[in-house]
This record gives sequence, C-alpha cells and structure tokens, in this order.
Amino acid sequence: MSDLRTHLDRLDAASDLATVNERVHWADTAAAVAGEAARTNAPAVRLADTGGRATLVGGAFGGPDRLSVRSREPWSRTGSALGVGHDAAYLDVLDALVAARRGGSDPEPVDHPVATTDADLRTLGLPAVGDADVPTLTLGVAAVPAAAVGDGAAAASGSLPAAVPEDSRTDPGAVRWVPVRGSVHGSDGLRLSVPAPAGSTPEGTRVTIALGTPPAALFGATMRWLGESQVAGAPSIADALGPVDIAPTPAGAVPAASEVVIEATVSGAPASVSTPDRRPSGPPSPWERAVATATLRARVNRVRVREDPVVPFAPTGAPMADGRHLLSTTESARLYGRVNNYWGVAPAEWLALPVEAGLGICLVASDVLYAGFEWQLANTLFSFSRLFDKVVILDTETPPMDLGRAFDDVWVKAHPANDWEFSDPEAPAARAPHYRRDGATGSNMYVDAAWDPRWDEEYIAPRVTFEATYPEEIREAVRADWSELGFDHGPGDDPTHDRGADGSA
Amino acid sequence: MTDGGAPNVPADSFRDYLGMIDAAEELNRIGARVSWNLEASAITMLANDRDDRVPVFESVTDCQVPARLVGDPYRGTRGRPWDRPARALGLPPDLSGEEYYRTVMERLRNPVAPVEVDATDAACKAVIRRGADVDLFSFPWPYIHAADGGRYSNLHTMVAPDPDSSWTDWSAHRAMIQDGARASVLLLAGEQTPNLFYYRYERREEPMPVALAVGVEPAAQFTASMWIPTGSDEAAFAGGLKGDPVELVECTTNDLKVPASAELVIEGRIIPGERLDEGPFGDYFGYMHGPRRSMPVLRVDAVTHREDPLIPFCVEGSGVGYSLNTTSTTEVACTGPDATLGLRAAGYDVEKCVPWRFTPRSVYVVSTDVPRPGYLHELANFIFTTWGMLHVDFFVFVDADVDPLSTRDVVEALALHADPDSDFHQFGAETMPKVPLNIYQTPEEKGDVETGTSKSKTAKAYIDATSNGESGVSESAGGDGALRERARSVLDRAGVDRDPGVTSGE
Repeated sequence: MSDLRTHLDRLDAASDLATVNERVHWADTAAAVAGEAARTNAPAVRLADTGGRATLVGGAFGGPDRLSVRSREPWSRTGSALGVGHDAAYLDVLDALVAARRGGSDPEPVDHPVATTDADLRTLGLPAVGDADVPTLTLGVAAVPAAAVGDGAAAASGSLPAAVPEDSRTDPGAVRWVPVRGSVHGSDGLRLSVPAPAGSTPEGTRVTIALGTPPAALFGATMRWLGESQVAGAPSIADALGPVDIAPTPAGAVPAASEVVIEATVSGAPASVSTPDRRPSGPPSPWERAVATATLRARVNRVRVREDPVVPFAPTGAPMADGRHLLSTTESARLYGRVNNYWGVAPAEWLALPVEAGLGICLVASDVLYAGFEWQLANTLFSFSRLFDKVVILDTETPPMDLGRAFDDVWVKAHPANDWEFSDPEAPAARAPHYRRDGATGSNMYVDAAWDPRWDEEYIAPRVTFEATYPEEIREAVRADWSELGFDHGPGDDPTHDRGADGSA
Repeated sequence: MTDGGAPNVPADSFRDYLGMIDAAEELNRIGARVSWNLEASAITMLANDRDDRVPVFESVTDCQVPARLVGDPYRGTRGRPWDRPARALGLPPDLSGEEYYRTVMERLRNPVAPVEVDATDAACKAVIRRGADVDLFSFPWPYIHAADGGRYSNLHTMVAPDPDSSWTDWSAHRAMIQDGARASVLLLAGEQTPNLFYYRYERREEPMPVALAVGVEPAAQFTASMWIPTGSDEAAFAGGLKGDPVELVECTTNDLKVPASAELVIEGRIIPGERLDEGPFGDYFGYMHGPRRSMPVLRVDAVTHREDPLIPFCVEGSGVGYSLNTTSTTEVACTGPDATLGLRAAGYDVEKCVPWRFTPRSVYVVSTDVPRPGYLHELANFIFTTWGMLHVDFFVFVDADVDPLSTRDVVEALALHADPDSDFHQFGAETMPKVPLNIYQTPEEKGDVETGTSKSKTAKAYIDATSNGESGVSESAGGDGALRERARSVLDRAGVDRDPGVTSGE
C-alpha cells in the first residue's frame, strides 16, 4: 500500500520536498507560502509549524511549469504518487491512469482506519486558502453512502438509511468516493462542495471526509466523476493505482491509511451551488469546473487522526497549484484514452491540458489520418470535455509535453488565414476560461499546427535540431568531446526536443 | 575593461565584450582545431540547447587568413535572456527584466552622437585588402546547417545610405557567400534598407554602396536589430544605448562610415538588376525553409579587418522552443525595449512589448491598458503597418499588470481571457504581405518575387487576451503583495530552491 507518507518519502528522496520549520500560521501564511512555492516552481513544501496539530504539505501533487528546462517535470510528483516513478515519462503517467479507469480488484478491508486518535477539527490547523478566513479542505475525499448518490430518487423516498449498514461498511459497492472541497465554520460546521450527484444526500445522512488519503484514492475519486460514466468505481480505480486498503465508517468505507478521518452528518437540506452564502469559503477547486457541483452542509461527529497527522492541501489560485495538476493529468489521461479508442486506431501520440494554460487549452499531437481529420479530432475533444474551447493540433514529431516547441509551432506552422478555425457561435461555454461564465454560447476554435496531409513531401520544412541538422559523425564527435571541449553542461540540460520519443532523458 | 562580476562600463568592442563574459566564466575558448564546415555550428547549437558557455573557436581549420569564429555570442541564459546584453551595455547582469527594459528605454531616449576617427586609429583597418586581393573564401564563414544553400555571414551590421539624404541605415541582412568577391544578400522589401535598394537605387539603375561590419561593438550590433525611425542617426542611438559615443571610421572604398572597432568590414556595392540564389536556410522559425530564391548581389570592393579577426555567427533556427540564440536574445533584449519605446512615442501608453518566448519574430505580446473602445484594433493596425509588417503575424494583448516576460502569465491569459467568440481579430483575409521565409506557405505561394516578399498574401491577427473585467481565481491567489513577499522570505530562509523562470518581477 502506498500511503501519503510513502509518497512524501519518495519526494524527499528525489529532493522534491522541502521543509519549512519556521512558524507559518494556518490562518494566513501557510497558504501564502505554499502558493509562492507553487508559483516559483519550488519543490513541495512541508510546513512543520502552522500553529495547529497537523503538519501541512503544499504541492504534494503539484509541480513546476514546463516553460523552461528544469530538473523536475510537472508530472514528476504525480508519477511518484502513483508509483510509476518520480522520473517517469509523461506518457507512462497517462498510461497508468488510462489503465486504472477500468478498475482493479476490490480494495482489501481492514478493521479500522489507521487514524485512531480523537482530535478537535479546529485545532488541526487546516489552512485558510485564498480569501477564506476559516479553515478549508482542498484535497479531500468524501465517502457518501451509495444509496444517497444519484438522481435523488432514493433520498426523496425517505427510505434511505442514515448510514451504511454495519455489515456493508467495507463493501466498496456500498459507498461512493467523491472529491470534496470545503470549509469549517464554528466548532463543528462544514460546508462541502461535491459532485452534483452526491448533492442530493438528505439531511441526517452520514458522510465521512478523509484528508491525506493514499494518493491513489484521491486520483480515483477525481477520475470517477470526470466525463463519461463508463469507468469503474473510485475504490476500484484507486486499488488499480494503489492498492488501497479500506476501513469502515458509518458513511461507508474510506481509505484506511488516511491521515484524518472526519465523520459527519448532513445537517441541512441540499443546497444549490448557486446560493452564495451556503458555498464553502475559499476558491473553488479546479475539478469543480469540470463537473457539476452541489453544496452540502454537515456537522462533525468525530475526528480521528494518525499520530502526527500530515495534511496535503492545494494553494488554489496560485499557478501550478495541486488542484490544477490533479485535474490536468486525470483529464488529459481521460481524453488521451478516449481519442485513442474511438476510431479503431490510436492516432494521438500525446495529449495535454497544460497546467500552465489553466486547463483552457488542449494540446494534442496526432497523426493526421486524412484531410479533415484535424477538424474531426478537435471537435471530438470539444464533445468529450467542456473544460476548454481551444485545441492545438500538433505533429507527432513534437515530443510529449515539449511546450517550447508546441508554443512555437502554433504561431509559425499554422497559416494565420487558413489554419485557425472557429466554429459557429453556438458552442456551449467552456468552463475553464474566465469569460462567458454566465453560460452564454460562443465559438470553439482549433489551431491546425500539423502539416497538411495533402502537401507534397517537398513542401514539408525540416526542423532545425541538432539531430536533424548535422551528420551523425559530427554529432557523435561533438557529444563525445563535449567535456574535453571545455563545456560544463551535459545531456541533462538538453531541451526535450533532443530527448527520446517517450519524453524521457 | 570590467571584471566579470560587476560590470559598470559598456564594451567598446566585440573583443571587450568577450573579455567581459570570459571574466564571468561564461565564455569557452576552444583551442582544438574545429572546422567551419558544420562543426563549429554543431558545437554552438549544442551549447545553445544546453544553455552552456559561449564558444570561441580559436583555431579554425582550412582558412587562409588567420581568423576565429564565435558562436552565438549574445545568447542570453535561459532564465534571463537579457543578462549578456546587459553586461555588454555596462549594466548589472542581475537586473530584473523590468529594470532592464526601463534602463534600455531611458538610454534610447538619449542618443549620443558618434565621433569619427582617422583610419590610422581604427582597429578595423589593421589589414586592408582590395580588388584582386579580396577573397571572401579566405575567411572561415561558417556553413551553418547541413541543408543550407551555402556559407553565410549572418551576424553583421549592414550600413547603407539613403541616396536622397544624409541618412544612413544600419540593419541586419544575411549574406550568402557566392565566390571570392560576391555574395547574395537577403533583402526583403518592406524593410528600410531593402526599400532603399529596390525603390530608389535599383529603379535608378544605380548600385547601392554598402558595408557589412562584422563583429562590431555590442551597442552597434544591437542597434542594427532595432527599428530606428527613418532619418534618425543610428550611430547616435547606438551611442545612447552604450552611454558613450560610438567611434566611426570612413570606409576605404566608399564614404560610408562604419564602427571603427569592427573585427572585419566588407565594402562593396549591391548591383541593380543582378540576382543570385539565396537559401535555403535554417531560419528563425526553427525550420529549414525553401526554396532557393533570387536575391540581390553584393560585389565586394574591399575587405578590411583586424589581425586575427573574430567572426561571430548565429545558428539561426536554434533559438526556438526552450533554447536561445543571438537572434532570440536580441529580440527580447533589444527589439522589445525599442518597440515599447516606439509605441509610446506614437502615443500608445503600453507597458511593455515583448516577443513571444519560444518564437523570435512571429508574435509579440503587448501589455497595456485599454482606455477606449477600438484601442487594440488601432494599436494592432499601427504596428502591422509599421515595423511589424512582414515578419510579425500576431500580436497578443494582455493587461497592463501582466508581465509579457512571464511566459506562464501570458499563456494563461491567452487560454483563459481570449474568447474565441470575440477576441480573435482579422483572421481569414489573405490581404497582407509576408516574407517568404515562412513555412506555412507552399513554394508556389512564396514564388520568387523580384522584391523578396511572397507572391501570395497572408493574414495577420491580434488577440485580445486582456481580462475585460473578467476575474479568475488567480487574481486573488496568494494574498496581497506584502504577504507574498513575506512568504518568499520564509521560503528563502528555509533554503527552498525557487525558480520563477523568465519573469521580471522576481
């Protein structure tokens, strides 16, 4: 089992986790410090002294941008979290997520969560993020009784039991794991944002929030609610990525190794997310742009923590914050898997919703199977995801996540008159951008930065790269003599366009 | 001469500049024998790609005149493209981007007239070769990319006079060496010197006297890459940039004046009605472009040079994506401040105009307030019809508080604020001129037009990525400035390795 602590140990071993021992209070400075670390491409930061009981970690699922050559990749921490490796290639991370969508075996049950020490929610020191002036929850997984999740029919009937029956509390089928973002109000009040199907949970229903879950559970809960429903349940996805043990709570099973387990009871009528005074404090998590959400209010019944609990959080709003990374990789994997299982062939070499672009642009490097395929590919992506309204189609010669080359090609390879294509203005509003938040329709656009398949071969301009520009004997001699020639930097400093096709060094 | 750590006087010569970066341990003097035939450029490209030291090839094989090559001497470092130009101009290399732009613009506002020196005092006249003694191939002009049409001089200042006034233009137009006394010069109509040739000299069937000054002092090199208004004294702008007068000396075979500190000067005439092949060439887009085209011919009358001259060159095309070269660096460090100043002089209160990080010349980012409806359209049209006419296809406008030097902020603004429905303008109309160096037109569309532009037209566009009052989470993220500053201090005290990337604010 790979729990959060194992993940952090791996980051530590990879010199991708720094510790701040100075007091940074949870009420203001903690989120600011994590935000600055994310903003400046720093390692994840462990905040050892926040005035609360928990150690906070910002950036555990974040990473640096890919707008320069760095020693760490944006997906390195995700690769580490998923057990693929901190040095994993981008496509290995995507492939792991794609494979997990089918689910694994059921998680193994254990008798009780590892978190056994009772605690007071207010003394944990959960960080106030963004404009919140109360403690917030940003990277949580909520366990909700399966019978309470859906179209509300069961809830409306009044026949729903408040809790999962005791003999089913380690049954993965009896529970739904959902991503949750929330805030703490008073001594025991919670406002929670959850995917809309979980928002119909009636008053009195038990719900459990797990913080510091094994990473696989966090990814599983997020993946389950993105896009189409033909995916396994979150516990099964998590187990495929994990494995993950589960432990009983009144709301159903939770990841056993979770750092903090908050048992609560839904305390008010389900509220629409459009009611501002009922929303959780703090900025919405990026996943809330990708799925319809609803707000739940709850009262805390019991809080249990592991010894010296560690709580990861996202400094939401800072560029490169964890939530964007989490959504970027999961949504990229989903779309990558779908477009490569749609036409009977797998044309997409790689696909990414770069965190750097706030998930508002989708890059896809693909074989252009025939004239017009670019249109088909772009519009397929628009139909699969509502996050973005801009697609850039690249040739497969652009290495995975080489944003430098991708954001060169978009300007120089696409004809400004012919290769920037706009739909009619009746497309649904994309959810990641800041405009048309009222839902007004507008245009989608794609940039065709791939060579026109109708062009003669002689029209295709070769790239200027070290590999393509010089004869092999010169390349070999230059590389072999590099140090002798008096240079300092080695292959590790090469930009990605000189790396292998899989993006690895 | 300054030391490498604390420069405070500008470089008076190219050699002086190399000494500065040598002292800063940013220069690699390579003693091993290296060929001009692809080898020097291959080493340079790898140094560019790896953000390594600037190579000086002290021993070049197969050249009759002892001479050295310098690969991409002005390439900035990945995170701070302006650092070496700053050093060359006597500025602290650790200036923030904001400070660098402000300082360079201030200097450009204060031109310093050049001084003329006698030929006997001019370093570039140490050796004078004329007539039959001239053999361009006796110098180690590099063969830069394996598919190039020939060997090139591509990092020089071309000096050419207006036949109808006292104005002399400095510009940068590469020259492909054809034989011992001829080169074809890339002249694209729409730019100042090409316009002088095509529409004045050639129409009058007169040769245009020119000088290619190779390895000039940095301020002169930087000025050649800028769009200095017609009629202005380019040497005075170079002096302003430097903060000291530039020394000029009269050519040996014509009355043009060139920077006296040059390593080598090719004097000659561009002949009306004559054309020779030029290209293909690996160009600034990052691609080899073709096909060959016909370009005006420079006939060489004399070559003067220092002893053991240093010949700088640029591995064009290697300054895209994550890598920098001299072209992409001077675009950020020279063209950007110059363009910003030019827009302000034209009455547009822009904050900054900066080339897109991964593409040297095709797209610029302008940070500006939008004071009135139609302002961005007006601004875009102004630029497209002046200095942005032929090379630039796109302008991206961002809010005044978005730093165009921060690629991430620009990418995010483009993704999250530019509405496909209303913020992309002027697409679809093929009405505008384009240089044939591009790769999105077919060879037929490019043609082989007498004046160097493509036969077919293209479209240009501007993208409004300003917020238009839209707000997002990022705007409130991280708290106020004081809190963010405190947070940075905490991280620094904890020894956290921060790397903000290319940004002027840190």
